[in-house]
Amino acid sequence: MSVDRRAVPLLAITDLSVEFRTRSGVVQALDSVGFAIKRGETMALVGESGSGKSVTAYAVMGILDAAARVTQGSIVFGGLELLTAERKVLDEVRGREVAIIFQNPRTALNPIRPIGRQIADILLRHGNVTAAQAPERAVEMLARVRIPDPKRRAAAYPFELSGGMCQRVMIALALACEPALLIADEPTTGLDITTQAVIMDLIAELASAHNMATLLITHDLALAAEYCDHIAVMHAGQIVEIAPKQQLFASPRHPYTAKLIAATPGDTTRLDALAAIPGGLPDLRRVDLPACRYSARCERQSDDCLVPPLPRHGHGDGRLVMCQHPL
Amino acid sequence: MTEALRHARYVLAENPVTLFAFALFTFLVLCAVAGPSLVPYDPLASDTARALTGPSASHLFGTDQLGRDIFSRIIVATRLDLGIAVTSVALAFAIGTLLGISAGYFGGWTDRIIGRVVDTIMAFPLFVLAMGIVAALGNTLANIVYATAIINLPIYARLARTEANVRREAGFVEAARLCGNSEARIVLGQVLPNIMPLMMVQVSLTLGYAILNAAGLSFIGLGVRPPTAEWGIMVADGASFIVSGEWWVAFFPGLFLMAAVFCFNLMGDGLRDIVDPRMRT
Amino acid sequence: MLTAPLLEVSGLRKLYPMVAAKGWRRAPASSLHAVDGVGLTIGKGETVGLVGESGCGKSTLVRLLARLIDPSAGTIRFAGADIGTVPARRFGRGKERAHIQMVFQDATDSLNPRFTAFRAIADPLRRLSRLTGTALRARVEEVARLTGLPPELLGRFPHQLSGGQKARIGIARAIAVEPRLLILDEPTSALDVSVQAAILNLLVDLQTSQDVSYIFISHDLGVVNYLADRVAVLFLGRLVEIGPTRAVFAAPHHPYTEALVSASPSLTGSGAARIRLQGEIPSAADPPSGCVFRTRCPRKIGAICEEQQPPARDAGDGHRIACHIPVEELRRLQAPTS
Repeated sequence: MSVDRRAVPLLAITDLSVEFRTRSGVVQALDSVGFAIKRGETMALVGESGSGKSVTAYAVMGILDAAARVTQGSIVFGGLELLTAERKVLDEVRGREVAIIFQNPRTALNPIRPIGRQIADILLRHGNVTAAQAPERAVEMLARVRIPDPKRRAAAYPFELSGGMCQRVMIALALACEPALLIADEPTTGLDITTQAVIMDLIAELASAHNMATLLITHDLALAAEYCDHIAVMHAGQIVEIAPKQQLFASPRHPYTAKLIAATPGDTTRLDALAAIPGGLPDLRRVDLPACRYSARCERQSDDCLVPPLPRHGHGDGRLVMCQHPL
Repeated sequence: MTEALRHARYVLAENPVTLFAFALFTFLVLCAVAGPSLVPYDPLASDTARALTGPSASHLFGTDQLGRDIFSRIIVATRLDLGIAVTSVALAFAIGTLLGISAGYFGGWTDRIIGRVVDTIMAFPLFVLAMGIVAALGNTLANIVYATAIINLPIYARLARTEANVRREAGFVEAARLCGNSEARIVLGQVLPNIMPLMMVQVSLTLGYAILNAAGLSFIGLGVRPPTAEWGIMVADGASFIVSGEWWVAFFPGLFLMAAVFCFNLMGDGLRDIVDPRMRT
Repeated sequence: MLTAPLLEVSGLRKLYPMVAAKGWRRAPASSLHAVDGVGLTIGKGETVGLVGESGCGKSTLVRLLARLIDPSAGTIRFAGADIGTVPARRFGRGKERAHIQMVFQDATDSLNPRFTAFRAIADPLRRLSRLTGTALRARVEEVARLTGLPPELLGRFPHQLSGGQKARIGIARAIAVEPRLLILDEPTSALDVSVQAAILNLLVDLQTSQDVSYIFISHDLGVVNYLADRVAVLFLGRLVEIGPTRAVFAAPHHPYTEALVSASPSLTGSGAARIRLQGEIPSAADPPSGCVFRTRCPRKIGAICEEQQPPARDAGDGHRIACHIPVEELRRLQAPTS
């Protein structure tokens, strides 16, 4: 079985729940997470630390920690169910059909291998390239991500490059085989603002050139607003709202989304208008977690927020709110 | 504090070997402290009529060539061996840590000079150096302690230096300067408490080595002098009797020696597990 | 009526000699210009934001102002007194030490892992305010209350506390000795948005209740916009622009500021075309001649940018732009095309 890039939607996650077995208990990291991405779309998965956004991304790539267990749900990519696919099939899909770039580019690259070789490695593994052609194609990839003097730089090691350059190399690695979906896990944390803009612009440009779907994982709502068409907001392992960008900011339906927007300082925020969100994340090791994990911090909460199932209010054209009392 | 104890209990529960090592350690300390007053025989009393009798009900570990009770001698020797080890390690620890932390924190010429001193010590095969020091200064108990302290100094100096070097750029050091702390206060009051756990682990490991060192010196005749009861001397005495079949003269002291070194090494590993921040989440 | 500024900095320089080893001899090959001729003033109760990217020297600058390191040249005057010439080590023993305090970027790193929260806050009080016993305990608890730290957390160690709580301890420790100037190095960049909002609000409240001036570094222009009365923009150790926040972030402003604002993602989405910086990032060890920004500037006008350092042009109301392009011309070039 292989991946059909024309499948609609390209990626469909349904009711995904993941738990982690740790020394201090079982952590319910994800609870019925579900969203879909169509071919060529850009979606942002926005959430604070502990929201489970990285776990979701890793589940799609199949690189979850050994202590993780998927307790329910499905991840269908191009018509292929990833959670039950054979190891051989997954190895083909990973890297060729779906690629990921990570947060800390320098540590994600092999420190003792020149960058040109690392790209060539991926090309040889997944692309239809001969050993003789690979080095040249690697230099082409470096040029495509706008690394100056690519032929000379191909021999460089990661430690010789700046953070921004390393991230470009990661993008080159990810895009080497022209995947249908690119997952970018906090790709610009730690980079300067101007470098961040350049990297994000590059990803956007390459994505549109290849009709590649992008899943951007970030805690930065403004970044999501700038670069993505659709935004899915996560809180404590649950998806709380999904909406096209304009609608999310114009009229957020979930209380948490509204609070998150109000807490982000922007151009016009007045000195008394910044709102903190009270309380903290619930302990995900508890067995008695309420159905809505935001309820403890929410002003609109009532008793039916504690009891499953959590209602899904769909509004067509990609809007979804998981709330008993949407705004 | 209680959280540390809880974590310690967890580690001990998970690791029965460490628990065993701690139990053994407690036993040895008891022997050292209470032993001499509880032994059945006077360790120095010889009874040539009973020389070289094997283990029996009256002499648990048998008697040596002068008829002395081996069991009593071994228990009494615990105090001496442990005492030498603890004193010399304490000295090595105190001086080595101070030198190392200064070298690591201040850098520059302090680091260079201390580094050369430590390198000089390490240039020699350490046991040979100990031999040389004792041979030159005379084999008194004090000299054995000094010699053992000197050869163990470098390891503390190096460890302290590395740890201090890493921490001197840390945020809390800068914050301490903002609070008006002098450099000396920062080194002793802020950096030192941070490196103590790792140093304590090293102490445990060095104790084993120090015992072996003291016993080794005695074994070759450069250490404690007869008729004092000491494990090394006892092994040396018993070595000549192994061939003729009186195995117990060397065996039991050797067993205790091994147990002590074993115990300290295991304890060191266990302490490292308790103290290593990576295990704390 | 002009009140005397709290802090006056002029011509501040910090050079790090870079030594090249040539066999036995070591010749200083060049210097790294970490901070190169910065001048600014801060008034009482004012908040000044410092923006700039990596390598701009902002960390070095704030450490100079906090007197943790010594300047190579230039003056620093605090409440009229010259504090720049006192070596950093001696400054720690003087009474001015309590007047200037700092909050660090990484709260976890800035707390001694072996000390409880209580001890972290008590340390400056012991050293600088000379408090002991019950007076000490009372003050620590008062400061903890001021910064929103529940008193039961005072006995905890850093690894038992959340990011937001550690940030509060960092702030509590700094304001405990009632400083007049508080320097904050990216105080919220390691925190989640919701926690950041709480800390920012805390900083605003503290400023009014404690009557303290702030200098803070942030890479988030939204935060700078929120907190700062004035903004200073640094590039490669030079101050390229300074002025009231609204004025600096709107045209006319320095081409570098223009690029920063353009690159900064915003919730509302600027819609304007992205300004792309060209060229190689210059190194502080070998800064470009003339205007240090010229190798990356999209508005470079010609040879003058390479030959001469740009003058500080007055754009009104304390707003200064260091550029060869006159202010009116900048205004015309940067006007939004509708």
